[in-house]
Amino acid sequence: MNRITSFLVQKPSSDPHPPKGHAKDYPLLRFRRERAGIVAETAERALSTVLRRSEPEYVLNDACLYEIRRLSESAPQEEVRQLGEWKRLWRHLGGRSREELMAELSRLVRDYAEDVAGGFSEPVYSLASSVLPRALALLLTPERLPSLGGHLLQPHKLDRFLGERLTLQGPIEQLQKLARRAALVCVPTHLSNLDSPVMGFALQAAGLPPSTYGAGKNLFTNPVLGFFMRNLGAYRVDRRIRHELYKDVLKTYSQVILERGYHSMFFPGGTRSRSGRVESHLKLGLLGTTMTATIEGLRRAAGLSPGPAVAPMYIVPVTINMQLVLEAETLIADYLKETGKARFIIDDDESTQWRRIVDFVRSTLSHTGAIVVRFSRPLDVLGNSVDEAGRSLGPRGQVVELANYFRWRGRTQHVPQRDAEYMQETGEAITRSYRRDTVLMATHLVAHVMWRRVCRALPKLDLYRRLRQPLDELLVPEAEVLGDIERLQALLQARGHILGPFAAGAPREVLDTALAAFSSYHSEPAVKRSPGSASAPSPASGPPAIVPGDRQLLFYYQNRVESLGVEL
Amino acid sequence: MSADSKSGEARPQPLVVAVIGGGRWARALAGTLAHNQQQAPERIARILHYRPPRDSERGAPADDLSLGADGDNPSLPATAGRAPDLGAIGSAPAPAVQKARIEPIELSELAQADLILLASPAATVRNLLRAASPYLSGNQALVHAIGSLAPAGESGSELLISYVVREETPLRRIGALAGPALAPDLEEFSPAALVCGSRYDDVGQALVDVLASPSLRVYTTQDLTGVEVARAGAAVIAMAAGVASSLDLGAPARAILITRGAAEMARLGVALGGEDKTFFGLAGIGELILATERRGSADFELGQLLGQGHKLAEALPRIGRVCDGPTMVREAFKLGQGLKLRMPLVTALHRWLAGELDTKQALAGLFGSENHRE
Repeated sequence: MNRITSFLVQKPSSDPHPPKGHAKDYPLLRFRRERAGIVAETAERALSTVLRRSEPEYVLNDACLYEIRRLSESAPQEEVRQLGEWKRLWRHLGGRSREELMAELSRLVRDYAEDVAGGFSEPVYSLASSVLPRALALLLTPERLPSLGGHLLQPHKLDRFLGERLTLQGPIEQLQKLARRAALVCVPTHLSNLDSPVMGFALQAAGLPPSTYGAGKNLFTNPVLGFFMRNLGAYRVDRRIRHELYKDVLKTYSQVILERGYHSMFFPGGTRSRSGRVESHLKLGLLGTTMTATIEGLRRAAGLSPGPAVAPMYIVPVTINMQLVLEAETLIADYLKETGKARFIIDDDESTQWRRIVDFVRSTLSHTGAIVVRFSRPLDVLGNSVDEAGRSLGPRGQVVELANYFRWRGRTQHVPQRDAEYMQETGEAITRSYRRDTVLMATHLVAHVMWRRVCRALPKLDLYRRLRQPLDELLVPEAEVLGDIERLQALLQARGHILGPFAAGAPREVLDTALAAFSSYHSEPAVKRSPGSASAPSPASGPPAIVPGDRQLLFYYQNRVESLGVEL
Repeated sequence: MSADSKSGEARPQPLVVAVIGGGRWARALAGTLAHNQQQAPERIARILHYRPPRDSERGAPADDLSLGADGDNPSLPATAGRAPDLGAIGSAPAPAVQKARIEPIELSELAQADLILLASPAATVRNLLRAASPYLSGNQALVHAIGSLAPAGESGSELLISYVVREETPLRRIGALAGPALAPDLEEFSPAALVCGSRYDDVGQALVDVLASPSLRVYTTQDLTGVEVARAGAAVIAMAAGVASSLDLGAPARAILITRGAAEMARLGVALGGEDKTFFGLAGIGELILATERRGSADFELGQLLGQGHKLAEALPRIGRVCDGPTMVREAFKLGQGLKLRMPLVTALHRWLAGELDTKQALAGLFGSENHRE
């Protein structure tokens, strides 16, 4: 725990500092020791799951066909098996004995488990969590800092500077307490490839333990990012592989690490929000492993299943709220493509361009309160709220026994149909948390105000025409924009929505913050001052006016507001 | 393999079933359970019967027809003690061969039940569930057989009964029962059918286990919302059919009410998250055919009295049973307005009951609305 924490936490609770000596209890610290056992257990249990469903020949056949098709259509990257191997395997499936097929299947499952499994290095964690942020700040914004030497002597000034850029909110004290005896499963909203490092930093700054998390395999191809991810608990999810065998291995891995008490993180939106909207539909496959792991724990506790005790699990929805989004331009362009052509995996966006990352980080470091990470109240795996002690609460606040929900007619067991329905309800509880705990930034407010102006200026047009129709004459007097911002603030606050740093301030401050942020990173800002006007009236220029800039970006940033069901 | 998973191969444990409600429908359900327990004791371990105090059943406002107004309220179900000859479906029940074991219980004893069948008036259901909540837990399932929406709760919106169960209790496994079966059908072992809507297959299967018999078919669907809206909507259409019957409008009028009524309720159901096919199955058309046809449907009889010119306040006591129609008309009208749905039938009935239309104008609304593609 370094000093950054004390400046980062915008005190929702009385004492953001975790107890001393707690850091050495982080479960991930034992990952390196347990890795081989985790891989072996994953392979064994996944194999057993697969064989309960089908014969080895059919499982292998299915995997071969999917992989041959995939690898024939797209260039292979880092693969568990190359195209030629899959073809050879497929050709000889028919002539092999059951034992040979079993051996082949076991090898494949083992290889997949090995491919998925992550790693964790304490030195790399220390480097990433304390040294790197300071180094980045010094390298990227030297003009904003006094001399390097002075900061080496007074590192707390640097920490304060960094802490002002990231604001933490939520029941952090309660989460710290729960983390000591339970596995926390953080489920953040997802806007950017920077979300993983932001969450990693936020957890550390909040005095919460580092967590393992699933990350797209494509992210590991970047040598620098890949190095850190491989050593900071990330496990690899190859979203190009669609056959059931791989999904079984992935889910089993997730379940095994949850059962072993590792804190985890999933992005249940599945992929970055292309539109900028707050997620309302979640992918619950991997998250469902919290439920199967919980049931396994209940069975073990009741002596119905062998194995060590399983710690309770709590789901913690998190909203990551950014003044600017690194990949905004690519994401919204992708979203606006014809339905069905949008790419699930984008591997050539701004997050792959060092220049853009540097620009973005510089811009973020230049603005106070640029990122807000807000932790929601923790939930149990059924989506129930929990009290300070972690006990599940029913709808009227009464304590309920979680184990009861998995017992029916004398049995405690995983019932796929029932548990899938339960998970749907958990997903709904998470999206409710997202909506409740989304923090709206100044850029979102100003974008929404200007987007509504565009809509009114171009009535009865569909979205695409609104984005493309020439609109040179839309100059909105600044006074009107300020009035709109004030009305929007009132509307949002009346509905209980949360306004972030500066977004809750005077309309003038909101506008200035948003304009400065937009112009500091995007080549064509979403909103800007009219070139022919001045920020203050003068005889030489017209009255101050605001104009929409890049309308796709305008739409993107305003979507954060609109997805909460609010419209000015 | 663990002992538990070994037992997974065996027959599931028999259920303890509790029935809540003091009305005829609740007693008919309990009677069916009692009969089935005699036939297949391996499916039903015990039958519990909680009869809410009459005061709580009568707690509804005077203009709300959901209040329990049972004329006869014996403590045991109508069929208790009788074990009919199932070979003679539809004939008079056979003499009693064995006393059924139905245990009257206090509210706190609901904790013993695996499956709860809720058949109390919609007007009192929220208070009842709130009182029962401390004794309920996540290992129980609840299936309601309430043919109306719940009155507005603290949120101010009219709600499906399943929403109220979720709001007031820790229960998750919730179902709703609907279909062409009236209390007399169950009491007399006439052929009848019910459909249980629940998102949880376990719940549907449990209902089949405890209620199905040679004279009563039990189907299942995952469309809980559709079943709830269809059943509640039947009360509206039954009332309209009663009016049409009192005016001797004939069979075509009834056919129109059934088909267009089902379509109207389907619009409402789909808007609330249901599936339209449910409204053209047992819970929809199936229940409508029965409810608009004959004896037994309190709402049909209420419609007849209203059609004859009686005021609502006079007609209700004469029926002497729970009538969900007027409540449902009011709630469906509000929902339809909020959701911007075209609901000519509900609108005409609502305005007629509110005194904004006379009977002739209401009939024009019922049968003479604009022509367009079906």
